[in-house]
Amino acid sequence: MTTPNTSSETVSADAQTAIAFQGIRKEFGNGANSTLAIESVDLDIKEREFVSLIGPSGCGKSTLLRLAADLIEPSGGSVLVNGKTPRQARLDRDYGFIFQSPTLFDWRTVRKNIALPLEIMKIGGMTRADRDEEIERLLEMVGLDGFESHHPYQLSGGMQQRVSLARALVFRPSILLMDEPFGALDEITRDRMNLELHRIWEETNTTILFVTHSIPEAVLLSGRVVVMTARPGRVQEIIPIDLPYPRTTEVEESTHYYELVTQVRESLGQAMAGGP
Amino acid sequence: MTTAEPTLEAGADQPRPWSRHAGVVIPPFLVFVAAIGLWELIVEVFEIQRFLLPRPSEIASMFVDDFGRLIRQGRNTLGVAGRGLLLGGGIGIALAAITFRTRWMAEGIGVYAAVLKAVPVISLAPLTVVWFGIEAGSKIATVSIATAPILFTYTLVGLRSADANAQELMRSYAAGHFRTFWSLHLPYALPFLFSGMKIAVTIAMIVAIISEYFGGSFENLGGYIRNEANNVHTVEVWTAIVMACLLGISQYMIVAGVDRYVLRWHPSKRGN
Repeated sequence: MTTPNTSSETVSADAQTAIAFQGIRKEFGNGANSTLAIESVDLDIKEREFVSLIGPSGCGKSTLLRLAADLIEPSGGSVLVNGKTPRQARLDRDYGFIFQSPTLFDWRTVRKNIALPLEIMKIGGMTRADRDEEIERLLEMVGLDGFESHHPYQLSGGMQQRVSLARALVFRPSILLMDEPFGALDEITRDRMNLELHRIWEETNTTILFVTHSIPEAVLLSGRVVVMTARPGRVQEIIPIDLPYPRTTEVEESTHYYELVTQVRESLGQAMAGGP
Repeated sequence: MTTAEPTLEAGADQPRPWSRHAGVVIPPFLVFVAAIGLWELIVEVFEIQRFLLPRPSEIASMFVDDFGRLIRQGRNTLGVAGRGLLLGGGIGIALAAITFRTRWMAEGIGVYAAVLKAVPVISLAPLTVVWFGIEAGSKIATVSIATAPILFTYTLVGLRSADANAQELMRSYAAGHFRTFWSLHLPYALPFLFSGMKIAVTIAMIVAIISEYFGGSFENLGGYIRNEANNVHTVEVWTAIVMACLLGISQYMIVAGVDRYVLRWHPSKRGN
């Protein structure tokens, strides 16, 4: 599980589909007060892919994420997560969900926050020692060793989001669903978290579906960027990001990076103007 | 017997370091000493009769002499208040825990909880005597009726205050209802539960003593006050009142202390 992705080709054409959206329609409310949030979205995310969803506010990108997580149900169409219904995938603990707010439990220490999913899932054959070792490994991965006995309120926003990330990774889900995870952080912290997230993605074998408002963030992190239209949300364009791996600060300074940022920005501009 | 509605600022009283405590403790203490002194002086100067208003010094000295009996009586009253609170609080908390996910059920009970908080429950005391007899049973019942709605309301608001994302997080872990209740809703409810308890312990003590006025044993503070007042033994009445005050205050402080310890992670308690 530590084989790093050396190039975008790692996601081969015949890779399994992790998440499949087919003809998705989502309406909120009913009757005259209903809002059509998403209309006819088709989107396949392959295993081990890093895909970003970007679009104007209210375009339904978070809604797509929540549909995959079985937090809400589609009004039409179907979602498959690891070939299963989202509900079954949820029951099988196939995905970890990360919110914009760290959503930590204030009364638990960092260690016990990260242990929460393990406590709930009672993963078979996992002893207390295994659990401690796993938490230790994650603390190190997200750069929080030494903070395990702290309470969330003693940490900065960035550190809190690291705890949230560790908590999502601790039960080794195959998919991470991330809803603007760094949206509330300052620019500097955000840059660092992006690079770390990318490193973690390369170290683990996870598929990441990432919702963001930030064009540079989407380009830096993703294998593909999905640009969505304003409400009702549709897929405007899917832009492949053929930047070299690993994504580092050097990549961020390359000309091609800027070209891709421009491409996404223009596509987003068209999306907001109401389609191509 | 109306009680303030719980709000999201429940338990917002801030702890202070001792240096700042001094500023809060000393002035009220000085006022207390001055008031007692003035009381003593007024009785002296206006030659007020003993049965109308005894001197504080006289009350104090009898309080010391009768301390053993007062403690015994206080323990009985406290027992009634405690058992009533346990029963009423238990029912209130359990009903809130069972119904908080089902809006119509919680609202249905909530209306009656609000009514019970608005009516003077103590007026039911003679009725509970008819139902449960003249001794402790009826008094425990009255205390329960008075405290159950308080804890129901506070617990309900607390359980519902759980963060929406955190609830979705638990759902994403496919956590069961019981697990979610225990790991998420209950910790969110605790600050409210303690706010409710602070009110309920005081109410329980008041209702217990007044219930004892309506008859039954004299071996409790209410019964003793009733008996001594009938005999115009005003000093004795005052000693029982002082004991009731001390018990009420210490109960409140115990709850506040547990609250402060258990919720040291809570924004309202942790200071910096």
